[in-house]
Amino acid sequence: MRMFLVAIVVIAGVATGASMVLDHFQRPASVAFATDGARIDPPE
Amino acid sequence: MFKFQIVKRLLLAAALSFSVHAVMAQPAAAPASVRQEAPVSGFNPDAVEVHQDDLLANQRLITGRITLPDTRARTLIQPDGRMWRDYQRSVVPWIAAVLVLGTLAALALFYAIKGRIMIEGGRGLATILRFSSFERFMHWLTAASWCVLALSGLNMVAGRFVLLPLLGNDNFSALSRLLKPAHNFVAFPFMLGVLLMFLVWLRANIPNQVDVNWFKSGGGFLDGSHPPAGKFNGGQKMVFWVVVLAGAAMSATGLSLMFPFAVTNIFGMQIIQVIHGGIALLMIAMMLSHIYIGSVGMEGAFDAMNSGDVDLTWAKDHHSLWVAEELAKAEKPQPSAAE
Repeated sequence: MRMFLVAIVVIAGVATGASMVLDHFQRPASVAFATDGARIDPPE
Repeated sequence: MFKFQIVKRLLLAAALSFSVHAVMAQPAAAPASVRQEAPVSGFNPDAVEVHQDDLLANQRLITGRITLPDTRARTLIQPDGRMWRDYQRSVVPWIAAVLVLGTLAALALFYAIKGRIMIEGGRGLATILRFSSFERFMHWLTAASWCVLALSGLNMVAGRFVLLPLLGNDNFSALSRLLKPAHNFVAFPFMLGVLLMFLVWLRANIPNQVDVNWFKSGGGFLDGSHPPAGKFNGGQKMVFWVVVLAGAAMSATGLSLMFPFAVTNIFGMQIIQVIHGGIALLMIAMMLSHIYIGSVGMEGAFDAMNSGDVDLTWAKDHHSLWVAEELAKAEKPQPSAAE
């Protein structure tokens, strides 16, 4: 099961890395759909 | 004469004023002729009398006028989206239930009838390395990330019917808010795993006549025989190609959904989502069978992905051609360094 545990660690690492990279492309709705005339409160 | 001219102009002005007021004072309810003069599309959204059913049936997008730079924001209603939503909420959960529960029921029935497939003659002392550490790593990388994707995907499809009554609103909401980003982010290790498996196992998974014969004999599942097979038998090769091809399709459709409107419009995204979900459900059903036969369904099979060493008798039973190749390699004299 050693390889299974190694895979779990790698999954966590790659997923975390992916989330950091995606943050550069994706914005929360409160930012993406806000305009000069319309502000959207961020989710609590 | 001059006075007559003034009176004439005043009368003309009064007449024009009256006619303008008469036009502006039309009643709010338009006559039936307004709808009959509608455009060829069959519907005129500017008509005074608007029927919702006609509007939803005839318009791909119901839009308004906006000043925002993003023109997509002018869409008020996308009628096709209602059909897509109804399909997601009322049809897909049933498809998921039939595929997942049906597969589990079929496997349980198979287990009840045939029992666990045992190693003929029992386990021996000799073992043979079936999968290297790296092969087991990439298998678990794909399998574990797939489990997260499958469970989080099933939560999107049927969570509101299965988990919401059990967990309550707050807990279900918290769980779903956790699983949604997990679905997005864990997709990347899954894609990495599929790519690695494709590269490492492609050569061993090219179909040949041995696989045809393996399928002709039903893999030996029904009559208890052991048809010859290489490193991967026909069934395993089928699983490999399903994982590779379905994984590639899931990856492409999933990435396009991860970046909304980057590839296609809202209608295209709905089609892609239906394809994504449909392939996922078929894949889940197939993987349940793979998990069954690799664990409780067959004695000795799990060792291949656990320690990597399998019982030699088991290997001779299920992968006789591969064992013969491996033993021939082991018996072949290794060239010395001097040579």
